[in-house]
Amino acid sequence: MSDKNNDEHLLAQLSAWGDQLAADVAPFEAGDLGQPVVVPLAGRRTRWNPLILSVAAAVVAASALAAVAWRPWSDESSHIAPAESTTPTAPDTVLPSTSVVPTETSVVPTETSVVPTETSVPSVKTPSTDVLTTEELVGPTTVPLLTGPAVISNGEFLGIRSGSRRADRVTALEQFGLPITGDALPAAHLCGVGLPYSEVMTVGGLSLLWEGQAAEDAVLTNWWYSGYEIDGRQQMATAEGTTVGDTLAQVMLAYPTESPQLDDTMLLPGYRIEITAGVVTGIGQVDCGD
Amino acid sequence: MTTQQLTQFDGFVQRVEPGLRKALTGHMPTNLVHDALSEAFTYAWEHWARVQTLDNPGAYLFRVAQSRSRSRLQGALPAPDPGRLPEVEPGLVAAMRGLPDQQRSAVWLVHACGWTYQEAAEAMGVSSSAVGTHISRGMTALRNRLGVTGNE
Repeated sequence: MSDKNNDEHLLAQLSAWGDQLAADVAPFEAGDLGQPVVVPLAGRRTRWNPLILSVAAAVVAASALAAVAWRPWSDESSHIAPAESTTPTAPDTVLPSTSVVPTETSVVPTETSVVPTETSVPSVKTPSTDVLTTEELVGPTTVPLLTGPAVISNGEFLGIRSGSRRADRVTALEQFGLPITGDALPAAHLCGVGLPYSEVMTVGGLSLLWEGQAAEDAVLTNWWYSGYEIDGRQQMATAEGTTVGDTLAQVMLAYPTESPQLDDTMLLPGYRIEITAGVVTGIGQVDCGD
Repeated sequence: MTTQQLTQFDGFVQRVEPGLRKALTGHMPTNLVHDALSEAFTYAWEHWARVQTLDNPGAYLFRVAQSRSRSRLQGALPAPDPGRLPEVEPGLVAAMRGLPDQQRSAVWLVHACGWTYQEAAEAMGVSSSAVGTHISRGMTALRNRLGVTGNE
């Protein structure tokens, strides 16, 4: 072996390799973050001045890749095994007229999927039997979504996703018959990007933050789900089946390669979940300041 | 946040950023590293009261950056530019990429970035002894692949 062929040379190569890659990336400076300011807006929250908009946009974009699914809430158990995957393009379901929902459905996201337009928002109709049968797309619904599951993918739920225009989507939300309110935010869970107009919309256990220069151009910039309670039969879950009410052990089964990173927050691929006393109490996207 | 805290945070970024940047370059394409740094330091800013008390904040933010970049190309190890680093053997890139993820991460963090075993352990979410095991096995695999004589 030559002198070159020893550990010292190998380690020197690794170090030089690391130096070169690091030199190829522009250093990050604290000034890139901008300064946060606290403003009163439907409760306590941290908001950011325009300097941080680019950072927030990156976070929102990353989170938008996450998939969420609404699934039936069992009448007998608050915990449901992770959903069986189906194709992401078939979110429409004919629903039973009673509360019996024998199956649950979720969607495995694909980054290449096209974001559905508002006209593709699934709606439902009541069949003549009590059993889920075939899938069918119908027009604007006459039966609230609460009667069955809606399947959503690629970070889109209820026909909306981060970046969806408020003006375009409120009608879609109302079509589902869900009560839309402007109740106070769950504290510190809906940080915005600091645009002049902001509005919090609460749909069941889901809080939506719309922001823009004015109401007409406001878009969805953040959301937080803390458990769906209407009728106790529907909820939002991650693609791996994690939802509000799951124990930490269930989360670890769904995400075996992850580990809790904070006392009360766990970062999952595409999600942030809040864990209180060992139980998931919320699912969201953009992390907010305390 | 007070002026003093702002100053502290600025110093924190200057102190932690170089090592974190280097560590991340071994785990994702170079063009994604700056965004990952942004996300990590945004998190640090938002949780400053907690982050500033950590023993190894760089290791912690490494995990934050990885978690937030999970949907991207994780595990990617960009090759060095042969024009700028002709001394790096071509086989080293393939050998490193051929290592299991944990071994490659441990070898990169400790030997390419100069992190301590404890820092690498916290970044990887394993024990220091596990880091040692990963490095030992990883280096053995590299030596075998490249025909290098160990000095250990």
